[in-house]
Amino acid sequence: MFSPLIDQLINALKQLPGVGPKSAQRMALHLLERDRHGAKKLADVLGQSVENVKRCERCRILTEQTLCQICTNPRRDPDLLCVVESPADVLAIESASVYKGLYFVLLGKLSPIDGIGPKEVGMDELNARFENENIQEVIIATNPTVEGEATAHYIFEHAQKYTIKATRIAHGIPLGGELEYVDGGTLAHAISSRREI
Amino acid sequence: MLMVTIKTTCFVIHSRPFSDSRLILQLLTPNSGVISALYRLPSKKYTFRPKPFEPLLAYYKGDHSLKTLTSLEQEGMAFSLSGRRLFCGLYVNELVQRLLRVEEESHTLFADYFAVLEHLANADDYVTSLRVFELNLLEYLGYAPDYTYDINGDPIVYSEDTYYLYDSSLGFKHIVFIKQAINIFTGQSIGLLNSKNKQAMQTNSTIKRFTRLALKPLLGHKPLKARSLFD
Repeated sequence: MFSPLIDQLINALKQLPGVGPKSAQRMALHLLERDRHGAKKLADVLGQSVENVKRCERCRILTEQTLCQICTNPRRDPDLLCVVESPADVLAIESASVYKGLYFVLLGKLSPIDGIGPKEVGMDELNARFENENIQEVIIATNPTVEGEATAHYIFEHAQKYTIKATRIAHGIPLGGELEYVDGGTLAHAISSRREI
Repeated sequence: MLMVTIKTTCFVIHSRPFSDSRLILQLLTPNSGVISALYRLPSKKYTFRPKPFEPLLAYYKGDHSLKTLTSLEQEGMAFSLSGRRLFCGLYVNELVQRLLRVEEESHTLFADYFAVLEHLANADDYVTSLRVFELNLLEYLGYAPDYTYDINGDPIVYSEDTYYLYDSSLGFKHIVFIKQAINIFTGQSIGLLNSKNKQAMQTNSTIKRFTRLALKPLLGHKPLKARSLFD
């Protein structure tokens, strides 16, 4: 409908998650009609990011350095290692400001039907960290799904081989949640993992 | 033409996101084998998410290979699998997903699937139930060999001194034993395969060797990924 270049821009924006044709069109027109400066800045930063951002060689978080800011921060506790499924999980835990250890990002979870096995989630790299670093506790923070639990158990078995204490993050009723809307499985877990007050 | 809504018990074998609010589920059903269906997630207020190993009640409609789920709810408590038992559950699901035919009556296999989950959740010797499921799956698919007669039509002698060579396309062939090979089984082991006696299976490692051998041509060149969890 528009010029080929604008159509290309709309199609490119549609690649973003949750962005359909209408939203992509709105974004493209906004950038071109109302915020050319912002559009230029976005293009520059996007280009630079694609060019320079890679994975941290130690924890596999996205960074433009060889090692990320968390891995090189001397105030982080090297005895603690938190294993998560994705970089977004690192951001979530960091926003809670309670964890001061290091991370390892699996970039997925064990899902045999999808062809994702131990090798695909970086178990070789994680085992190398178990072997070469002085880790005292590994906190397994994979999601409480069937695949997340399988991944957690697989990591637990490997941590045991290196006599590293393995712990699992707690799960149950969300803060502010209502019991009547919580499914039976979550409730059963919450009751079996209850603690004294 | 009015589309008929079908009501069925089912288990989720696999799910993958289709969009932010919709999933494509592969469901194991008693009447139609494995079906694929589009499921719209309920509002965020409800935490229900369909997951494997949980008996569900589904209402679906559609004439094409991708059905539409109009309703999905829990029909019972999920089988609680953890640790290596969970790995076994994932192995069973991968087998079902790889080998089961789409939209084909599967009452007996559905019952076998239910039984293997029950054993994985509760039984002490859960590994044997995996072997029984594999044997039942071979039977259901029509690839189980004759455990009573060899390929020449002679009855198989269930003795530890008689030896048979297993050929996946023909069956068991009586041989004179020279040296042990992966596809050679004693008559006694074949008797065990025929009886599916769980107690006797516990001490017999050849059952696993047989099921691996028998499933191999059905699985093709792509190995089962779930096996890597046990390494």
